[in-house]
Amino acid sequence: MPHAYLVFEKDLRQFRLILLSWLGAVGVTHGVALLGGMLLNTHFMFRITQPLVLQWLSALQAVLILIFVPLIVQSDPMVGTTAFWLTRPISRLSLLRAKAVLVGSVFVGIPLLLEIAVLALNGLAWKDVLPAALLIALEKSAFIVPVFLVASLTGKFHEFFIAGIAAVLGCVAAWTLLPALVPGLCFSGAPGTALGSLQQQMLIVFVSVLLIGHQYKTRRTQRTIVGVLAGALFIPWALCVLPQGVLQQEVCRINPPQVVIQTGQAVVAEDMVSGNRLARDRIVSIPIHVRGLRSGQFAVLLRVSGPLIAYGPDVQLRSSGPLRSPAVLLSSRELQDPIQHALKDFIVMNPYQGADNRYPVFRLPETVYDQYQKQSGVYEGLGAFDIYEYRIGARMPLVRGAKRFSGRTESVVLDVIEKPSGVAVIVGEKTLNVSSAFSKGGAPAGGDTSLDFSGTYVLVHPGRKEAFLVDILDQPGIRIDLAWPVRADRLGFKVKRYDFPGLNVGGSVTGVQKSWLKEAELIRLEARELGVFERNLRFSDFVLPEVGELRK
Amino acid sequence: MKTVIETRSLTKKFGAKTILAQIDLDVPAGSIYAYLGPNGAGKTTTIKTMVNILRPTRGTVKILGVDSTALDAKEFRQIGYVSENQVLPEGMTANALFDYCRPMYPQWDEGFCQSLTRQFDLPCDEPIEKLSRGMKMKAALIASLAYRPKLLILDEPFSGLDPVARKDLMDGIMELTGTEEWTIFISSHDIEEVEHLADWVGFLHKGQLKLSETTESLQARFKRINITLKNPLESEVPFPANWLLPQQEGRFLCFVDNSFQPGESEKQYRKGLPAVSMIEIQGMSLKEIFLIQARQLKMLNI
Repeated sequence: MPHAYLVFEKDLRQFRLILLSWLGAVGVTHGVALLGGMLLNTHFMFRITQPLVLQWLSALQAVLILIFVPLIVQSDPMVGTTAFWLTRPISRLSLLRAKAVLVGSVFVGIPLLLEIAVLALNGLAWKDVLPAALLIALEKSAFIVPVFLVASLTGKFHEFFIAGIAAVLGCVAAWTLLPALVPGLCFSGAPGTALGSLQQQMLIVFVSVLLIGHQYKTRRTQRTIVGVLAGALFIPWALCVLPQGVLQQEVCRINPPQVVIQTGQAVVAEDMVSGNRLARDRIVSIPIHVRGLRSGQFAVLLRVSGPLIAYGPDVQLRSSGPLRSPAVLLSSRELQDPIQHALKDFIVMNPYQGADNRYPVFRLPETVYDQYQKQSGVYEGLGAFDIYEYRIGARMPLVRGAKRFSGRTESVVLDVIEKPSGVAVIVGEKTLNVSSAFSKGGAPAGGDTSLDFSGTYVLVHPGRKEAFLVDILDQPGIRIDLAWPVRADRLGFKVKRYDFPGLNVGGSVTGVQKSWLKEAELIRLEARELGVFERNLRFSDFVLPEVGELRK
Repeated sequence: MKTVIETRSLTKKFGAKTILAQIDLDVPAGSIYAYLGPNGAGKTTTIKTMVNILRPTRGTVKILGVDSTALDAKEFRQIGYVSENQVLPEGMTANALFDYCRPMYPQWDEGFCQSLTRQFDLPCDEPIEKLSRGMKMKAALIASLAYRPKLLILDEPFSGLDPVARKDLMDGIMELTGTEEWTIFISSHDIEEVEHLADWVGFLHKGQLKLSETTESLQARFKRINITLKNPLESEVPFPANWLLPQQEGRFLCFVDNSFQPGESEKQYRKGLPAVSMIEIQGMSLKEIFLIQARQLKMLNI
């Protein structure tokens, strides 16, 4: 009988109760999630309580993993000199196999199968099963494999607990201090994109598996700990230098011939997001508007490569770190034409009047900023732009219970609340988004704010050809985002309230007319990526203004 | 002489501290080797290095002819190991422990296992964590004897046991040594525990092996000598180095000779001392030899 099987069987017997409790927690989580898909449209109380239950169950799963995985790994510890297995004819490879199979099957495999089943019952296409399974397995592994690693470096649970806290604090300290102490060090924190997360997870799993292999092969714990420290520095560095598109399917590269990049006033702000008080970076943002695209299309600046500011032939400033993804706002003036284009012969009665989007294009330390502030230089960088257009995803009558499916999103009108000057529509959305990191031409990863440009709703009257955009300034209503079990964007249930208060704008509708509403339809507009293009960004006479002050 | 354990210049350091220094040890096949020394002498470190739990800093250890760092399943099927520090799978019952171990050893003797269980009166259906320390040691011993290993290594097996459990365990091992042909390497800080078992003895002091030989030759070599002189010694006479802990009072002189040779030694005494009236030669127990050795090393501040 293979010794790995003996150890596996021993652990299975020894930990049968805790494994059963884990499976119970996983089963309940997926049961609640499955019920969510079935009852979301009908049971209001369930809609309210389900997210809380799922969040608690998700947290419970994480806690159980943090307790059970170390118990299993440490039942035959790789550290210390008193373990029973050390003087028995059991190879370390057999131990590793047994532990990996048990932890992998129980904590990754079974939840993965259940999750895929739940996704399939909620409309996951067959072609998406494999990518979804890979992504879910990777995501779970990126949490469980490091736990396994720390457990293999400790002999007792309290040691694991202390080592885990020390590891987290150490990583946070290193990631905060190093970029401040080492000028020019390329270091990336939490990635903001789906692909970045994917790369991060792959690196975490890869490095952790290597170190677990080293620990089980050699039992040289100190060396493995040195490896962990090196890995904690390597991963953010690799994330920074890895090309972001290395895993992604090639997106359609297009070359719009008549594109003109227009800019406006620059603005400088403190890096408030990272909260890194040691670095005190300054972020330079400028409004960028792309003209010359085909009608209905709009461009979003994806990233700027190699940005620099030249002050004469000898002095060149380079951006000191990564730039965060820009927030493209639905209220932006440049989105109005694409929205109107998608709606074709409907006339938008309440177009937004917001400013152009502003994109971060340069980052520099406070001291350097102080030195070069108000000096005139030349900004250069290679800008990559995503081109989008709006399409009508779903169109449904404005009545409770109306339901349409488009792409990966099912929209349901849960309620229509009439008001003196308008109407509020409660919309439930069920979104399956399991392979966005690999795929091309999909919808952009949407946020949850009312200003999110990736998808929106428009109220139209087919007979009168009138269209009203959702009110983006008054969006206080009920918004329930269900995050289960870990990721919100894999199978997301959202309930959002969309206010259309200005149905009398322009005088075409005076007050809320019952007949207008009776014939009204709700249209879901979705942004679709068409491709990317690159352009050199060169702005001469570029001046860093004062913080918070608008300058040309 | 075929050796089962062989160390050459074995040195083990933890940081700057030397725990074992240049240990050269040979354990002959079929012997019962008592590895003695006070607490902290380095006995457990030696054993853990032998079975590849620790790596030597320098030097080599060979077990059953294989370098300790290369020991694998094949060798461990021939090695039994019981230590006071070993952590058994606590959640298991003794029966479950035997069930777990059985498939690892093709030569597992189930009849022998059951006979040992009966002999030790071991409660096999209780979780190991609920057993007394003595019962845990018995369970560990059965799990290490039932496959009839060629080499049985016992690291302080009687430490902390009550007298009844100690006697049970010792009787069990003594009974087995009469019937089984195996090598036993047993460490202890208490000579009394093992003096009836051992036919070889090694004495470790502060990481250095001070002696390693058969109990027969050791007891032949170490003799307590009482000499009566006709007249008291007039001045301080330098005694030979092999006369340990010499004590003189008037006409009486006593010491321990660690190089005693019948006939030859008496001549040496008469030659070295003036007017010897009577020589009395007494044999010594292992415990006495152990204590004399320890006292001598302490006196020399080694």
